[in-house]
Amino acid sequence: MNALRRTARRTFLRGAGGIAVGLPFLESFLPRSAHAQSAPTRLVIVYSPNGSNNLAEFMPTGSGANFTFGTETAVLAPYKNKMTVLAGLQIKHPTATDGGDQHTVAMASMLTGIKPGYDPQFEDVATSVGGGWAGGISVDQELAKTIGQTTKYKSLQFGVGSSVRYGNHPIGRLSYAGAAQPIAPEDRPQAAYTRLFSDTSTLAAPAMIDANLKRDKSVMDFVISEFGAVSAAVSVADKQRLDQHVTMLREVERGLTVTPVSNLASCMQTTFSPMGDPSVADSFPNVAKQQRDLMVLALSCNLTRIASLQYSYARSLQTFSWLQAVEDHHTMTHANDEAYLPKVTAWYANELALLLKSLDEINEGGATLLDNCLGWWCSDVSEGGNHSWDNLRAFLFGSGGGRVNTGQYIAYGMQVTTSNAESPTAWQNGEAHNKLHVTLLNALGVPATTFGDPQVGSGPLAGVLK
Amino acid sequence: MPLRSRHPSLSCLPLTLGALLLWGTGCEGTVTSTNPHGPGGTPPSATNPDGPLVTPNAGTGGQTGGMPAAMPTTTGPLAVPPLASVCASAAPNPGPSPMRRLTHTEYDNTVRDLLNTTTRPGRAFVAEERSLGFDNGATVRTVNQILAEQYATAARQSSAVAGANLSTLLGCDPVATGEDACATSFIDGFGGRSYRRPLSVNEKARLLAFYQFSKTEFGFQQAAEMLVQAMLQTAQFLYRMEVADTSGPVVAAAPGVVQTGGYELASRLSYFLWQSMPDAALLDAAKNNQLSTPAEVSAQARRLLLDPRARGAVVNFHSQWFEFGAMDHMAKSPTVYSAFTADFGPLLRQQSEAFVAGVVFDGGGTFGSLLTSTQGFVNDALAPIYGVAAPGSATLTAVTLPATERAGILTQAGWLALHAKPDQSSPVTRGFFVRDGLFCSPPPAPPANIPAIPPFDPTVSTRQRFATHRTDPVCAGCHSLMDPIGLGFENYDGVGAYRSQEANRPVDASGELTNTDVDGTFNGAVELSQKLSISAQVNQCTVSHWFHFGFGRGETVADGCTLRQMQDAFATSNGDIRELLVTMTQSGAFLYRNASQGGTL
Repeated sequence: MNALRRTARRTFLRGAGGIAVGLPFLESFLPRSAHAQSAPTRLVIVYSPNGSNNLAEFMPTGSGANFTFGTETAVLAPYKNKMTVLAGLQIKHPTATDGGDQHTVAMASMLTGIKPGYDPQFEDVATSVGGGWAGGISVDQELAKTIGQTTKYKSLQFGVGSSVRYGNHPIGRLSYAGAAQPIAPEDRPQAAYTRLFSDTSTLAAPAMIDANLKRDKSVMDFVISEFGAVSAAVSVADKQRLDQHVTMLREVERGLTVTPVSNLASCMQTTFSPMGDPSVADSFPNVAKQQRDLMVLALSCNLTRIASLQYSYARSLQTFSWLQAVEDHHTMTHANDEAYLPKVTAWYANELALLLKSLDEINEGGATLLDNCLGWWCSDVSEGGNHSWDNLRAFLFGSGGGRVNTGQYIAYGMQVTTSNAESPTAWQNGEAHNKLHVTLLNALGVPATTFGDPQVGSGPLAGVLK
Repeated sequence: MPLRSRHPSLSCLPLTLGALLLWGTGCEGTVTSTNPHGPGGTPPSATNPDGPLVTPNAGTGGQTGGMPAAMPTTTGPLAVPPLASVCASAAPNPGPSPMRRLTHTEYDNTVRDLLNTTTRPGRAFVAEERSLGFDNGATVRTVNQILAEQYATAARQSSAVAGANLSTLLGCDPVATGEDACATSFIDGFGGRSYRRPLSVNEKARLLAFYQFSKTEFGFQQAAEMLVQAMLQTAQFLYRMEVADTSGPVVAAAPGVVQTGGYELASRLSYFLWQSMPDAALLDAAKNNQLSTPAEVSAQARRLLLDPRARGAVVNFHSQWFEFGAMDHMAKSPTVYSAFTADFGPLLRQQSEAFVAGVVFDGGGTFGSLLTSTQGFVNDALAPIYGVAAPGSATLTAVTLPATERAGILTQAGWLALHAKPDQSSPVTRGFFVRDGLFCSPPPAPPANIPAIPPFDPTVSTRQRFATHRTDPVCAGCHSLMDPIGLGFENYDGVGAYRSQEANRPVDASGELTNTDVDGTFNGAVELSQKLSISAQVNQCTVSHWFHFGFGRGETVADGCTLRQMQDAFATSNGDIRELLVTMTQSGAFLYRNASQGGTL
């Protein structure tokens, strides 16, 4: 579809590079001229749950530059040259956790590369899940310490039904500021919009915005120092909680002091109409669309360079009425549903394709926003039916501004057959997924050699970085 | 559904073998540790010596007799609390006393009472952690950046609203008394209410300095608002801090233990019974040293229970236990239940809340009456579900429901509809809730490869469709714990309406309780509810839930005497809920705490 075609319900905004982008939910716009800037690199994480039940159809065939997407992910084929598919990545923990189910533990390990904790208070008997907060910082937050410091938000997390069933629970948290410091996605497009754009969209005079910021910063200064003054009065464990709270306050304060994006007002001025109630299961696709659009907007407007889009939570119980499926996703994976589960898997793949399309339509001076992103489509388990961790989903997209070899399918190790009827295949000689973390860090300018648990592997993955 | 800790990896095998099998293939995977204590909890460990108490369960057999008896013994540590005689001579033991941050509900109520506003910003706050079935677990709570921003935004907005009426907010007229004098008295008064105790000398000095700075930079009006904006984000406001400055006396017989101080008790009382800040009477009592004896504390507790805010707190507890909130989003099949429109869910939730409030505060007041009361609340829309005459109003109106069909919370349409499928009833879900939520005895986890639920067949009864659960030994081991209970609810369809026929046959609602202290057959949910109401196990499970909610944590070995006190009082009062709550304020966990290790404020 021609991105410049106008329809009755569509309106346009200008990305940071000045090319019009259609986003149907917006209702008004004020186009400005493009500002020439060198485009920054971004990290994008996309999460969808429960892996795939049919890896033979989900994963590509072929290898190297000669590969074809599987039938379950064929919708990604137009972006083949801007993607890098990896096989054989594995979660490795030197010792087992004290408890927790496969999904929750994998979720806590996915971006952190370290064994999570375990807290019996998180046991949910009705669904027999449990676990604990992650054991360390996540790779996106590690990056936020460097490439996140120049934007108002060092990172942004957009959720689609991430908290409906379990609240703030390890089963639904990917990003961590540190051990046991989970970062919650914003699940409501309206709130995400207000948070990001309320100052500009109310068309307040810049002087008024400045005065408000100054006052808010003064208040925050006081609050932070007040925390420091009283935290010595509580127990050691409680002081730790107060200190973690202060870490968040400092980040809020930092956001108040970052110079506003020079072209933010020209980037967009608009109102927002939510499409559906985020707490209702059937709103899932509409919420997903709005969150995806907001994330693209936040990236293109340089409100952040690190963003994630999280669909549901691990061991997802999301229902898909719009696909006429009756059972929830997790039940389908274990019933090995062949009627509707493939549709669900294909739906999630299509969601990624829609994101890639939006990113690729934004021109940033020669390259597209997609080119300047380095993204990772992940899932909690590789295969839903047996919750294996031995061939984690790692569909990379974008090249981080040319740092990554795209158009490749790289397998680390290989699949072998086993004599186990329940798990007839296994993956041998895979790589610790920590090496993907290192790869992402290196690609985006952080010269780390290990990430998460250094015992399980070091260095980047072979063949990915240029 | 209450979230209870239990060993997650027992697979679904015949029960005689199930207890021996510690490694399962349940969907939770194979990352669990062994649990020699059997089903029911996680044992104490090296890092947590006061480990969670193995909560009472029915794993090893039932009880006989009707009078409250010792709980079934398991191999776990302190499954039965110490005898009252032992506790009488023991030193007080408060158990852990972690600092508690306000829940979103408590935040809203506190801002309401502090600033006289009804904005309720907490409703929009990011999702909270849930543990043990409740949203107020002390140690699982974290603060993430979005929440910090939301606190900041809410504080700014509240300060602007409050500042619109400056002299009301300040309690003095800055023009008449002078700005600085007015601000100083405001800091004392409003600060004392925000922090729920008098300010320390240093806190006062810092706030005064902040005011002076703000006044210079932004003028008096803004400086006053900034004081509010700041205080609403401090640790003193957001957390219930219990520190050396506010502590009660040391307890000689219990090293490291102190009496909970007066102001601390004021907050404990108000947040327990009102989910909000102390009122002026409570703060005055603390100020006048009239919260220093158990009798003074219980007198205040009884006063608080008479206030409307107590209804909200008690309803909130039941709402979380029975998951009333999930009723809002119930979706039913439009073909099978065409009358169940989008507004029914919220209506059923409101009705469930009204039922609980009615029973506890205006009716029998006991847990038993919660299970047996025939009172209901209907409006014109809901009346057909209950088969009663429409009251001629859209407002929920109290009615007496037909006693043969409805008695207690398990026969309220809300609970029945919530524990059902979109197009049919659900004996497994209903049976599971009774076993887990009311007996605190959850069945083991299901295995990984459970087949799909048999499709709805209008010619076959639910009982028949679930026959495999009984005939297949792999299923029966666990389902024998759930289905015989849940099938007793078959007189209620997927939206909680009563039916005497299903698939053109009379409904068979016979059921059986096993592995409990009230074993035996029953016919229908009304009779089942009767049996549950006299079960010592169910009563003790109820006590356990109140412990979690009231103290914001699970029971530990150290809480034995608090539990003994609660269980005995509950039994003696025939399950009077308000009496239980008063008893909780008399316990070691409430009247005492661990000494703060830190310095002064």
